Amino acid sequence: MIKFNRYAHIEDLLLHYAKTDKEKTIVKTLENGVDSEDSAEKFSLFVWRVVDSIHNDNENEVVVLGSTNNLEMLPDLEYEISAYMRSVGFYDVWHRVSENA
Amino acid sequence: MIKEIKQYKCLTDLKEIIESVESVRMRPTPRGQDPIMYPERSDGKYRTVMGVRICDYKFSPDEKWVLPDTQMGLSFSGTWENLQFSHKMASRKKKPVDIFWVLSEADLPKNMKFIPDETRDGHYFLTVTERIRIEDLVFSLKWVSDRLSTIKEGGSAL
Repeated sequence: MIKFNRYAHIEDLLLHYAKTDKEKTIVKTLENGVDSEDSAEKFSLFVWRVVDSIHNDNENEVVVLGSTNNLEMLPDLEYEISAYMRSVGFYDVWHRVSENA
Repeated sequence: MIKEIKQYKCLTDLKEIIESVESVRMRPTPRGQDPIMYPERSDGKYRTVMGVRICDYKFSPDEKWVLPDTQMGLSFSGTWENLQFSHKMASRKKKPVDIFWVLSEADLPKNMKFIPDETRDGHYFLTVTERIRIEDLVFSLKWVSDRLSTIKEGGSAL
């Protein structure tokens, strides 16, 4: 499982949206880690879908992790994904996807 | 300290403003949210004690004290590069995001200090420098909050 040490709740957040949206490939990536440029790209695109879902759930008052407002977690999400992608050598993929998101 | 209010209408404006201020420490905040204190949450890894998240500071086991740690503290960006994607995440769906900032050399409470993140360039923690009660941390954080300047997105200045 990908571990996020500082903001451990990011693991719960990503797993929630991967399961809710039936993203089987992403669930596997969360279990096994990013190990290729292709999986880095798919994972990065997923993270930006999560960002949009957090905004949508806030607007539609959907409770996730006990709250309808998880916007405050977005800086944590950016911090942990940037750190993780650096650690596995695919930060350039995350940066490119994020610039175009 | 004089609080300053600037405005930006596009990301180029924002980048230029940030790069014009030396030693800036910033937190992007969706309009209407508190830039420093968090809503109370009683469960989970992100729960809070008096508006402070347990993941942001090192707490004593009874959670009545906050302990000094050079790599634990409220997160601040010091550069546009560090800020840009978290700002982009917050501003999806065209939501206005204001940037709250303070200078690193500003006179912080004596029990607080900005320390660079050892793992990430341009990122800083607002740390505590001594063992303090949670009530004192809350007082200090609100003290900092009262002195934050703002770069407001669009619209008219306050």
